[in-house]
Amino acid sequence: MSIESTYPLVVQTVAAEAAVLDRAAIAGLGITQVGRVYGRTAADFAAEAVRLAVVDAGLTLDDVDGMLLSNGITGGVELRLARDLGLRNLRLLSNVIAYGATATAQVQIAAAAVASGMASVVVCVHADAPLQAPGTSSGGVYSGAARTGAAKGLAAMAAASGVRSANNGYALAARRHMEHYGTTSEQLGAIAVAQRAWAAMNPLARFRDPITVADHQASRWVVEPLHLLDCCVVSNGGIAIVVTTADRARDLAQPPVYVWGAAQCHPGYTMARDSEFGLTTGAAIAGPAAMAMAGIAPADVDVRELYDCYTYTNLVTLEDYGFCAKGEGGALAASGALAPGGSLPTNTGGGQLSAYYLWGMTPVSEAIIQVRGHGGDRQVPVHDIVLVSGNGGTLDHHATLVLGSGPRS
Amino acid sequence: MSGFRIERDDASAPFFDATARGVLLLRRCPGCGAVYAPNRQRCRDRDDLEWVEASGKGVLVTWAVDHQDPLDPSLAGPDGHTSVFGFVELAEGPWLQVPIVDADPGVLCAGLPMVVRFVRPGGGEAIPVGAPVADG
Repeated sequence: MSIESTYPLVVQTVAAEAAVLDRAAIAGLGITQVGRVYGRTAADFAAEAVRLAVVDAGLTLDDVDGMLLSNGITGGVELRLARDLGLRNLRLLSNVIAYGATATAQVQIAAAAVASGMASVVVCVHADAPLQAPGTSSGGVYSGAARTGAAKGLAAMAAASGVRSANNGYALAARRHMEHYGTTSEQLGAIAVAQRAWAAMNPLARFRDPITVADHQASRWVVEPLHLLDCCVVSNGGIAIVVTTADRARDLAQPPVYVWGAAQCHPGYTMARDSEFGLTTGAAIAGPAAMAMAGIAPADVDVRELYDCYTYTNLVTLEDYGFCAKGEGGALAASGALAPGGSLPTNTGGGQLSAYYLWGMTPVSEAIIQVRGHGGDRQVPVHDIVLVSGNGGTLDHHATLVLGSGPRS
Repeated sequence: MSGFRIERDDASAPFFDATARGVLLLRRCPGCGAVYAPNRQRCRDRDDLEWVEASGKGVLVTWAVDHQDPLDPSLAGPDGHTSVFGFVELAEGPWLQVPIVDADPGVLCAGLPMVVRFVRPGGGEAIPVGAPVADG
């Protein structure tokens, strides 16, 4: 069954149900030092991020009654963090895993928990420390396949067939999009250029020097059709988010960030004849479903914070969310609409491509900053409705959030 | 980058017995008849997938060029220091991710007719690779 044929049913279903998630709001955000920060474990980053988020909200750890944890690739963010932080009698505690869609999913689950009364203050945290020492290859830490020596069975055959890193799967997806729709490398480059322009205004961004499409074209191939500047950075650090009830959030330290809509889609690509891999993603279902829950259309969205492990991921998500027709994401990117001053400000902190890569916490954190109006030089003037995406696996898992600066009417 | 070779395990033994004969095996559900790529472990209703011979013909869906050192010279692209790989949609329906050999990446395109051949990286088990069907 195709994503397109499934979509109307899903949206009708969501629209027919009364949304309850708007009883929840994001009240706290904690971001540790991110990037090339060495000598600390993922658990160290996670603990600090939780403390920062709770303080940011104007709460204490004694107010926390739920925690949702997320590991990157190094692991170590374990349930015992709750005990280490002295959290007693939690009413919700779990590890959540949907790869790059995890952070968005954590906030969704936390919002559902507080909206239902299952918990009242839930901290969502993600931390990772893949960069262990100066000189470590940042991309190499994401390569899982054996490079030398004997390997066993069909898994070894997969490694020989190109299943060697996340880059390879996304290169296949991007190439399929390029073949089918005529998307060009220069159009992908326009996304990298736009996000770098945003990153120049983000003090947390790893790369802040402007780049051009020519720079993108001249950057080395990683896996064709992906240049180095099509690929995200790799970062150490931790980010935590406090979710509580909207009523409580109004009395806390920060402007509340209201949860208007949420949806997921895990397409389960058949990887056989008629598979839509590379062409259409779970965003085509989750996006419209989340917007239907929020009672909005794409034209109502002020700011987009979209998962951008690669330039292509951002492009295909823009299409699937309905910001342009299918196949026209390349033209949209080349138009400059996504860049500072453009009509569709997107990935306003520089995203994973230029700022920092902490899985889905990258887009979620920048969304909170923008909704609050705390974006400094990069603040988008109108920031009432922000759309956030998470994407995991090789386009296998998608989660969408619609966040608002005020209560959903 | 030398020394990469593939060894069989119990689960893959029938598959590699076939590749040694120049035959590609796929998985088929004895219940519903669905045919899957070789690494599929189960169908919706049952786990006892059987092996079935494939035609070895298909078309290219998508491809990419990895600029890491090839795992073995038998997997290298025409320039010797990159490797080309992609999905071939087999005539039976499943996509098979394979190294692509004997092809300048410049001639590849979606829909290109492909044929499955076999190479033995490092002298280990034979694995399927995709090559464009020679024209004329």
